[in-house]
Amino acid sequence: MGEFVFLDGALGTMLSPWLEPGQPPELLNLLAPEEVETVQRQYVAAGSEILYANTFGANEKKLAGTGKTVEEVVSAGVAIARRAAGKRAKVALDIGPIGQMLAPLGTLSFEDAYAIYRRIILAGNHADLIVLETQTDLYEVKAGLLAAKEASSLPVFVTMTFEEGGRTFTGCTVEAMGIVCQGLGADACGVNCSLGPRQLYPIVEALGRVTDLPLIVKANAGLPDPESGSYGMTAASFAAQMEPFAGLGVRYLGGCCGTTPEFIKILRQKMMRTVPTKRTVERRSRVCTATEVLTLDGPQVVGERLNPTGKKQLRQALQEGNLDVLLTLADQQAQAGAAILDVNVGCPEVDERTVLPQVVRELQSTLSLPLQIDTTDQMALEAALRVYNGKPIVNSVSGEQQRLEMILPLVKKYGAAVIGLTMDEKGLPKTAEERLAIARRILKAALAEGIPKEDVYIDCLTLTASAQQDSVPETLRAIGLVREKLGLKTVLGVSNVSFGLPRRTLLNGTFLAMALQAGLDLAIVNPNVPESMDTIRAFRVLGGMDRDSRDYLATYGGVQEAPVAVPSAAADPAALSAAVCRGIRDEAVRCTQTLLEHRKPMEIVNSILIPALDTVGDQYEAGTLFLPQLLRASDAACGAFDEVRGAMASDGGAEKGKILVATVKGDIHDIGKNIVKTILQNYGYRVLDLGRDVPPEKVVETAVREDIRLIGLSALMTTTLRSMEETISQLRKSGHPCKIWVGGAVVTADYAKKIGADYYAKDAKASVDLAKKELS
Amino acid sequence: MTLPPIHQNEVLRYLGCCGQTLPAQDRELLREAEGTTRALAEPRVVRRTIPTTGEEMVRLLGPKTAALFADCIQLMPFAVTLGTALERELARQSRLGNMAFAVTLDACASAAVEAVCDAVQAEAAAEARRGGLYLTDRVSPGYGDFPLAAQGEICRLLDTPRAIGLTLTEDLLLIPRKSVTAVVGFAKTPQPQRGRGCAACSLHKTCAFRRKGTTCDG
Repeated sequence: MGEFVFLDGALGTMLSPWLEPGQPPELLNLLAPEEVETVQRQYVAAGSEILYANTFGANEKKLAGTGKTVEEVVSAGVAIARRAAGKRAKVALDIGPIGQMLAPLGTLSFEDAYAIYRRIILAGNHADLIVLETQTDLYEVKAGLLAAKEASSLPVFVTMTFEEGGRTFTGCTVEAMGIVCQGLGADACGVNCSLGPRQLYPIVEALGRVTDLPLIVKANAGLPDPESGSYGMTAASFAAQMEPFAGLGVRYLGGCCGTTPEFIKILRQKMMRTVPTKRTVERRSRVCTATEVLTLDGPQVVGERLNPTGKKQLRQALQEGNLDVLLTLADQQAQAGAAILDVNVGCPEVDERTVLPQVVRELQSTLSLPLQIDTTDQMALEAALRVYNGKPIVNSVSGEQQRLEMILPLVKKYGAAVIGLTMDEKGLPKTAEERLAIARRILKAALAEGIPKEDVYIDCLTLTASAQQDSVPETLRAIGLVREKLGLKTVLGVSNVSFGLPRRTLLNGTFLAMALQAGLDLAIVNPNVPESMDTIRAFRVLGGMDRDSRDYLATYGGVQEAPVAVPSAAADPAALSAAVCRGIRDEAVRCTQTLLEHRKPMEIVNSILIPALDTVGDQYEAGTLFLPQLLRASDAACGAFDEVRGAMASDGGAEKGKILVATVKGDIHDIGKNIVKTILQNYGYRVLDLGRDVPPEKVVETAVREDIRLIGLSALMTTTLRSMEETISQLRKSGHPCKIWVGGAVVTADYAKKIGADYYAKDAKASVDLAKKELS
Repeated sequence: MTLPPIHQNEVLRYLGCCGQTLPAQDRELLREAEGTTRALAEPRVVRRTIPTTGEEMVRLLGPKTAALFADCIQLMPFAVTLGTALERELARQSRLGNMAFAVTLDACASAAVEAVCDAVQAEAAAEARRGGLYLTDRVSPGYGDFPLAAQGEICRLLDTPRAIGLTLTEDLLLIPRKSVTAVVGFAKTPQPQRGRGCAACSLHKTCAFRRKGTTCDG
């Protein structure tokens, strides 16, 4: 221990003389095993102590069409490396990226990626360790790490490929990688490929600051010549450039593209006389997504609005499976300055175990903030932790023994942080000291489970001032005690305090300031109530955290103290019509508000909004308006429509019928479908959007469950039209009575007829026309 | 590489604008979308020159398209992408229903990726001139009889996942979407500038411009 371990260098390039063009190098394990062994023996002779088996691309996707199975190729690859290694080196099952992008960027599902990795790992279980290398997508790394942990007991190393600047092609930061690899139980992590040792140095330095896992560097022989693609660096200068990694405490050293056994030999000679510097890593509380890392080093806001309790619209959306409402709420909170979003989907008729992971995925496709997964259902929690990309917070575990035993193993397995509630079997204790005792017990249980201290946050729980006034100061005192005595981060839901009293915002803001002063780290509030964010920002200035009031000035500089009175619009139908046609949302909203004082809501819809939209649609069709103008008009109408809806006695009274839209399986070009959706909504239809890359089964299941009679399908590519055909065929087979219309760049009226659609629509306007016909 | 200038006319064309004067709001929208494109695009290019003799070329192009390059002594397959940050923003805006901005951004990104291809082609043309050769037009899989499946061959040949982070789905979609694969050839004789034209376009049956009796070339 404490010494360098030398890996090997490039393998693929050394095997190229025996390869047919386009042939996967892993096939040589079966076609020319002795050639592979010869090269690997050279690495052992040069001093490699871990040989990477020739299995980099031996996954079922890349081997498809070769006639060989993953099992044959992987098993042979490990056996060859074992023969070459003898007793002098260990053998790593080498696993490169699958080669297809995972959803949401691509179409490969997380579960499929997991299965692909699992198959390789089972086939190569006679190796000494598993290496995931050249990875660019943290989500794929997670699939691979979980597969390795669940299907084998071998150690797992992970190296990802970064560009200068410290991000991979998919935007994953090196810090996020370090945090997630450590959380998921990797045994070492680091970097390989893309850059030479010199360019990799700052990246490895950054990695070493966030993880105390042993570090790996497998660098290229400098940067390739852009023309020829060849590497010009000598073995001696490679070794010289690798030497500084000793100072960063890097333990595993090797080469990637452009390196040969000679490089390993010289590297070994150069480094043998030194040892890696002992590393000291400062443990900090961090959570992350693949693209963003949040270090808890000052008060932050956790947005509380993704919670259906007491919110009818959100509850209805969740019950219908319409996630647009959630995405909008999430975006609003992020824009307002939330650093983390709490996600809770618990309500009647919603199966948390399927909906929570689905919501986590959807949120992560549009949002880069870390999430706080809020559920009492252990199975739902695990399902959500499994699909989360990054390191989330689990909300929450109490001090009850049974809850600790249920929740903490999941927190450990998926590398999350956890919120501990200071209550137990006996309920919520009165005094701060008793709450501290529970917090201490939670911490002890977490440490015993292997969860580091910095990943345990304590919620000292807020009670209402109206009912239990004396307990308010106890909560504040408990925050101080937990912080002082245990050194843990604290979190608190603030808004409960004001329940039952008037001017809740005033009480919430004041209580928040008091809690912050007591040392609160994470305030769970509604960030779209300006006073919450105001208090936090002001506190950061006054507490000396926002140096030179920079953030404060950026937010409030130039803002006038008193709100400017908005002139009320005239109750003029022509003004509303004009606002819609010109696409000015604010004006459309104001006009509608004024008009609602004099007219019936439906009258505004039917006699002003829809005719205005028709006019705009006609102008678009005639070519006098172009697409963004049409869409802006639609947005303005949407604002007006929201007002109308708010004014109606019953929700949904203005709605004309339900429509389902989806971009078919395999296709992720959904902008056309989204245009159609927007326009339909603005005509008052209730549109359930299943998104893109939607399996036929899901379309059928939703149509039947929600009893939707009009269904729109889109596809942009010729290659995905067959999914459209399949979806229609399954809909027909289900016997569900519905009309189907199709659209998309390559769809024609003839083709629509051929695949059994009822209608073809060339654009959004045509879609509205047929909706009017079908749902009137 | 840095992103070359985006041609605003091309953006407008993608948006279906046929010469209307734009109100201030739309000019602002265009400006904003172009700003976002510039801020988020990470243009990357990978190219390789291969001899036209041998099977590689036929496998790459298919026999019909190979005929287009009959006079060539070398082919240059290349791939460009604008990266995942812009891709994510496109998906985000569209998913959140900010459609006016989403379609404008989408059009800007499409024009940007074309601009990158033009820059690659211009660079290759300059190299051709220096070597006394002539560059052909570029063709991309899916146009004319160049099979879409060739996308896979080009990606494999250039190792695009590793070189520029460009991957292909099983249905042959490029991910990130704002990416292009293409081939140009180096010939000994001057090459006709065929233009890509309607006949060679995969949308020639359904194109909105053609329905209106115009073409996207104006």
